[in-house]
Amino acid sequence: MIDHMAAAAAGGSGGFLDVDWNSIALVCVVTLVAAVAVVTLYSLGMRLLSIGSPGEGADGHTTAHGRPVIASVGGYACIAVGILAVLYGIYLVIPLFHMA
Amino acid sequence: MDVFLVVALVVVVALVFDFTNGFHDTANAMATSVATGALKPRVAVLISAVLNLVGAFLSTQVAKTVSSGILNEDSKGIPHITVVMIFAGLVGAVLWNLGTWWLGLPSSSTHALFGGLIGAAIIGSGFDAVNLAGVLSKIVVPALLSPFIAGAVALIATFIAYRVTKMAQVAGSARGFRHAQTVSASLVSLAHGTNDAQKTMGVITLTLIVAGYQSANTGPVLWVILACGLAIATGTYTGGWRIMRTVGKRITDIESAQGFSAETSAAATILISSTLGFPLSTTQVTSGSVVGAGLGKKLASIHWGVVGRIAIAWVVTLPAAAVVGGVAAWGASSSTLGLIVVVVLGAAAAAGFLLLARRKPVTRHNVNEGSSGSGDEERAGEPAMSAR
Repeated sequence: MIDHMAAAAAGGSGGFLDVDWNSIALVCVVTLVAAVAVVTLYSLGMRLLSIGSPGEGADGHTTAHGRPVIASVGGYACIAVGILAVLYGIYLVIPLFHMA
Repeated sequence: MDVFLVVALVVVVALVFDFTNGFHDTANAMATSVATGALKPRVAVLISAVLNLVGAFLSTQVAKTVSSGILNEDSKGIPHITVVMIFAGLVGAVLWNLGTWWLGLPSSSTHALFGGLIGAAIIGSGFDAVNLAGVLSKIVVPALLSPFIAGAVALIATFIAYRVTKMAQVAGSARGFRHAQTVSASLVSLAHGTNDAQKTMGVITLTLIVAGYQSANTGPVLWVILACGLAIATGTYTGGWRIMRTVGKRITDIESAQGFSAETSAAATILISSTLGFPLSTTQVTSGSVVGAGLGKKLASIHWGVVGRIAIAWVVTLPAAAVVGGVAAWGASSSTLGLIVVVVLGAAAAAGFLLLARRKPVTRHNVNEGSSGSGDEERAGEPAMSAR
């Protein structure tokens, strides 16, 4: 529904206005890719790290015994890549780093 | 009246506006974290204040849009506006901000600011003073679309987060999402500094250019950046508990996973927009992403009545602030006496709103309570709105 409303707003005022649609499209795409990537990576990390944990208890204090090594490595890797993606994003938006 | 005095007055009022902006918008960044218990209120506002200050220094693209994008300029690059009119516009913006704050509505400080300025410029110099194409392209269209962009992305992100973690039921996910949410809320604060602190910088820079203290088409100078960053950080630290409650609890009962998704989407939207020089309303973007996060889990838990009230405040803000700014410009431009009358009336109205707000204070102690809101009749209607 939200997509339709956004599309209607965009279509309704397009054409005769001097609007920089490319920049707005860029905002859409970058937001979508960045937010979905970060959230997905972090969620995947948590899912992998939960493998082998006893019970369905959602709140912390679970021990990691019984978790396969591959799940641990993958889980921490996902979280690390997610954090790096955030840092890279911040690096990209600071003009000071791109003056040269 | 001496130009320097009026410029000094504008700088003071602009910094007051910046302070109310921080006051208003703490909610955006930290509301969901406080509501889910991920952060204690006092810690939340401290982190938010520091990151707002840092963000103010990161990127000044938005300040340039404000100082040279919304008003038409003459052949020397000087905008068609006087310092007195800028002052009148600021009065309109501050009064509107305080009024919506008292009502607990997360209306847009940005639109209040631009509305006030545009109203003052139209009354003072006629419709030709406003760069309509610039206003539409750089302010109105991004402002209309950004909440939907952030909302749609938050919806998708929330859906994925719940799918991947089996509705956040896998072991450790509650704690994990709480940590993630703290980080994402901090990112929103940083983004807030790159966008909202810039608007006041833009206005002060515009004033300095118009008064001839600074050459046209240049960016903000260091003392302006520093003063604005400090003003917004102080405002943020002082806290906007009243609005925090609307965003965090009243729109939808939000969980850590949703807060994380919503804040990540909002921070991404604002940061990329700041880089491109779009002065977004961070309020609208955050509210949009919270609604999206609510939809991403379950449609029924959104309190549409509250969303409606917020939406009305969005629509009304720019024109309403324009009217107040226009009236103030009409009074302040007439004579020195008129200017003084506007100063006194503005200060009196601001004090009035503060006194009204003190009758039912929302502090860090009752920020998460659902009841005792600004309107009891609205509470009575709420169970019907939240179709659960």
